[in-house]
Amino acid sequence: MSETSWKAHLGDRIPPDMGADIDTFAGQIALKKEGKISDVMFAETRLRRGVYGQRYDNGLRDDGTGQQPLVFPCGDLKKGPDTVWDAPGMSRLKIPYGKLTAEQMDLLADLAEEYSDSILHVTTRQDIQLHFVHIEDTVDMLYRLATVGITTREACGNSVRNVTACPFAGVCNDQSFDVTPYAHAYTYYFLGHPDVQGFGRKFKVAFSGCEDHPCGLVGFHDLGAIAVLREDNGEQKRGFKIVVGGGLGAVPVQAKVLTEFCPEEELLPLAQAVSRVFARLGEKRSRARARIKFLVDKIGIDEFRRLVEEERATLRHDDNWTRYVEDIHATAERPLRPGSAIPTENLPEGFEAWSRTNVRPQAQEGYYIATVKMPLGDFTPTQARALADLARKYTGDTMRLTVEQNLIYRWVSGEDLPSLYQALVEIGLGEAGAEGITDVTSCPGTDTCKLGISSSRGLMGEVRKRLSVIQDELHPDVQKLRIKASGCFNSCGQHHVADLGFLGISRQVGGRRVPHFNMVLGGQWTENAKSYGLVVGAVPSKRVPESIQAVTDYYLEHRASDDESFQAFIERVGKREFRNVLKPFQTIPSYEEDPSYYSDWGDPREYSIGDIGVGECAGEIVPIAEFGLQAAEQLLFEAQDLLDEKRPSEAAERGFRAMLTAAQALIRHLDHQVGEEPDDIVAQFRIHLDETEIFHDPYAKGKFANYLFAAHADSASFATADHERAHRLLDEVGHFIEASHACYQRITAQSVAAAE
Amino acid sequence: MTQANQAQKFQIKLFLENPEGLDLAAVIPVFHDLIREKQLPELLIDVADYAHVHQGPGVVLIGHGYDLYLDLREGRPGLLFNRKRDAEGGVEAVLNQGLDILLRAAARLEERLPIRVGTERVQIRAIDRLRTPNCDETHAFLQPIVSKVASRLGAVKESVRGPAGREAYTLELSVDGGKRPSELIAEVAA
Repeated sequence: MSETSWKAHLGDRIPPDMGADIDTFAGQIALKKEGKISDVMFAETRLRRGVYGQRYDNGLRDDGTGQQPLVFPCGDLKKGPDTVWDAPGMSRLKIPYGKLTAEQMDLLADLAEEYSDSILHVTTRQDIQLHFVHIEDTVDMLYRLATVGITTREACGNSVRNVTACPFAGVCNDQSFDVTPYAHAYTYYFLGHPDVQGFGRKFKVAFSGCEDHPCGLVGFHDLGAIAVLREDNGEQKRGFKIVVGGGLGAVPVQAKVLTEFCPEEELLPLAQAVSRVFARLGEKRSRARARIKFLVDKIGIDEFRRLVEEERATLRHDDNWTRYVEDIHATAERPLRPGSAIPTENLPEGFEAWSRTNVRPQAQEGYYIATVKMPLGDFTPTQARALADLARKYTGDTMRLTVEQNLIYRWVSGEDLPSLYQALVEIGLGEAGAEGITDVTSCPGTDTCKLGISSSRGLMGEVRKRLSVIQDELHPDVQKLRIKASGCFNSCGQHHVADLGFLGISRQVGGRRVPHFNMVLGGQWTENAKSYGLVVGAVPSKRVPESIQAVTDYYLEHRASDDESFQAFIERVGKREFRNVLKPFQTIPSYEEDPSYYSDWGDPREYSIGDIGVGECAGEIVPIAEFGLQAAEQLLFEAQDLLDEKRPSEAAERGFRAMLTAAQALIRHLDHQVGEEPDDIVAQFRIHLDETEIFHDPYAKGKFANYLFAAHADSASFATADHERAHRLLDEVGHFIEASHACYQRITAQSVAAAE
Repeated sequence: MTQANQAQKFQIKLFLENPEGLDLAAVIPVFHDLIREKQLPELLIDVADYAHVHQGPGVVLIGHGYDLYLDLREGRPGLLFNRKRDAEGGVEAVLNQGLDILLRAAARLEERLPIRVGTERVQIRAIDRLRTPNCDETHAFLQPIVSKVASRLGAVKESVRGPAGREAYTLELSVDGGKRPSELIAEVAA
């Protein structure tokens, strides 16, 4: 019996454009296995599909007695520099602004069970991650995801990452207007857009419906958009305050105001202009300085603004900039049931405490938002299916993931809240205390991340466990504090904006390493993450839970009044005072006295930093032109296959498309704008590469450019091309692509020589 | 027509006889030792702690070809073998090999921890939804094979198919026997 693949099984349910991209990825996997693609090129190819490496994927692991080889069956085959093919990896699934349908959730449950370790993980960017996935399972997974409209494209790599937004958008009491359609439009306009392919580093975008509340957290984003209404001739005009150049990382930076008001129709063109300036002037060689925040800092926000305005003026008009505005309500959600008040009698046990912390009223009367607290952002396939069913039953269909690693239901009618709560309790997700001290946030840390220094998840799991026991006894002002941890200075746990933040570090004590965390106090979560916390000192990992209690006790005992917030207190008291508070927890017994200090939470191995690898967060820096040339070659391969299958007309058309793709890559490499239409590509090629003679071979001169012009002139006849015609064309295509590579190498060599 | 005969992705679970005393934190070092001491076949890589997840995979020993969970699913703690890739042979061979590994892991855990892995009840889940969808055809193909494999634990008394629908195809069998995992391993070795 012949074997059916997922692709064949799903057939038309895979949208053609998504299917084509996955086909390309499948082709790249095949070529990599044949040794026809470099490790660097393949790494960037997979990273742009959200297919990451994981800890130990260099084939080495410290088992507590020293580093040992992990001998995978694949031999020398690699999926990136120093990344073993067979080593399990992480798949990041993009969930724009965190919105999930019940159907999507059902599929995610299946995928977690079949390809991962039966855990779905909500990230601090409203994505879902699956861990321990084999590279060869990813293609099937992507086809299956495509059938429910989920892509992993550009979930990683140097491109626009998942666009996040306030999860309460559209139902919030404070918003200027619903930012959902704009976040949606931004996501799909820039997905695969040529102007965001040439970045030296990732680009994170967030939308917020208001300035004062934290839900969008635009302050630490590469580009943030805050909804603003402005009076214009007696009418309320929608627009955005745009900020750029924010970021966390080792040195957090607040975003700067690019404009106080960008009208809605200018949102996408302005963002496109920002992208083009960043792609052109952003750092490429040193990835440590390649985020846009460094560019804004280097040239100043005023010069950056001038460059963006100049760029905006040169942009070619695109109807898609505003097409979505005409149908602005397309993303709006409708309630399933009539609104009603919350019952006051016959309530299930625990409901009142849960509703106090996990329920908030919507702007629409009779409807509520219910937060499902996910421990460390994790949930199981069984829970996922139940959550999908609850969405179907109570909200019509949808859920949203939050940057605090939770899930929310919107549009829940008040009278349904007790039964929703009861159903959540039955699946172990009815815990109270959302957005409070037990609702900790953590990046993956040393559990799975190659860059992790200390176990942020292990620590947060322990803190959560201990605080949950005493939660009800804690002072209300302590209950509402937020705790977040990052396993390294990349700050994915967003610890800079927590009341109590923790950053994983390592310290040497008596010749051995001890996991530690830097305590960062007083970060401002409110006002869109307006200010960052203060590092007060390093605490051994095993003593962090006690130190948290000491800090919160000190706050309650010494605050100036009951009204003094934790942030205000930290600001007033300062670093020195807290050093004294932490001092008793910073002493470390010798290894012989207490070896437990020398291992991390949830990991009995003696602590080491030997497992830290080379991070893939930054992606591999592969210029956009190389991608284009690679894609052109792939199209030529496909054309040759079609010719072998005796389909000459399709082969000719595919071959011509390969030429256009190579030409397009060179035009864009020279920083000129070009569309997808053959006429435009050929016209731009003629102006920028042929008439300038940049493309001309030193010996053959313009011969290979003429192949493109001739093919273009003759393209109407491809539909009836016979084998001989198609064969001759494919020969010319091959020469044209070779000439394109040579041209690219000449341009690159000249740039390097000029730089030196 | 399903392609159940080409399926490899199966889970096999044996339930704990004394779940009330289970300490998941104590399982972690044992799993780490299994990696270090290479006491089980094939490459083992890492340990993942999901004790905080309600009725989740508990603690997972991550391998290349298979994982082992100290699993809490359905509120019924047990030791679970999860075949992911690279198995050799047909379905029966894959299941037999999985059961062997599961018994060896169970014996190691019983040596180190105060837990007892029961062998009178075994649950098989077919998680490959392409080759083994949860349908009657899959059941007709797998049921006799699974019964034959389960009979290594003792004569099969009862076999109950899990509900149809979104969950993976599941078959749970009870057998006469009650032997310890170490005894069953010794029988195979003999």
